[in-house]
Amino acid sequence: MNLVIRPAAETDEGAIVNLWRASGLAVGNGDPLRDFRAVRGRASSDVLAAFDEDGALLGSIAVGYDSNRGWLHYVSVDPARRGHGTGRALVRAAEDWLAARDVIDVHLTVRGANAEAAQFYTRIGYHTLPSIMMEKTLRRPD
Amino acid sequence: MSVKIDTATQNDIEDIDTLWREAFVGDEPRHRAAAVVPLKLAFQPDLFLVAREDGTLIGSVMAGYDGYRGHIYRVAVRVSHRRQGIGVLLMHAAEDRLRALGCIKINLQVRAENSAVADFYRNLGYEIETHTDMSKAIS
Repeated sequence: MNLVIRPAAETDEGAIVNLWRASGLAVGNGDPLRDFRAVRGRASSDVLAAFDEDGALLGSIAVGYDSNRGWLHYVSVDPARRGHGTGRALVRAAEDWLAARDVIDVHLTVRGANAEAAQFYTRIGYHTLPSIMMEKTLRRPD
Repeated sequence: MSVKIDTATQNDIEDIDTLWREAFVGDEPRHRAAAVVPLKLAFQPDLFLVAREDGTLIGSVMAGYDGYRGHIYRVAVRVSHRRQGIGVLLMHAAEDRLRALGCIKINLQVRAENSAVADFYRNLGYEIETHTDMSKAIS
């Protein structure tokens, strides 16, 4: 299968946001549409997307950095088209995106229940860190 | 006591190094102030904050925003100045700066062996998530 990975265009918004929703990556008070618009095409973040030879969306990934670390979010592959290395290729493309910006440490978070995802990342070189993850939702500005 | 929260400058690097060597014993060289602070000041200068008491640097917090999530790193207060609320002042200031960038959610990681610190963050409204942090060094 020929795979093309490129930064997402504005016109990819609908397909990618649908994929993020279909992949179960939008939970709680998450808003994939808002996230897509916030991340895509920025100096310090972007959304990358994988397409097949017919231009159909196969998967996508959000990548960003904050000078200290690179972060991967919304790593997603069309559920009907998994098992062909698309996820691995997307992570590699995001790592290349970060390496081009001199980022050394790449981090991501895996939900506690998602052992399959943790195994996938372990196979491609990621290590689990023995840390306690904490999170806070900021009050939206008035 | 007059404590002021300030944006850090290049001139603070030596004092930040002293603070971090006291707070984060055993740090690798790549995590020391001389390596980390210039990168942050060049990239997101508003997100590196220090606490000063009468001009003396006594605390730090380094925030990050990756376009999606806010991150908090390197919260440190000099041992001589702990339990006076300085960490809380630093955290509130960092949250304000992240909020100004459009950030709606902050993630942070506490070292597993340092679980007492989790109470500090819980009091500030942070909740423990069942997420796992995974990482890889690329180069």
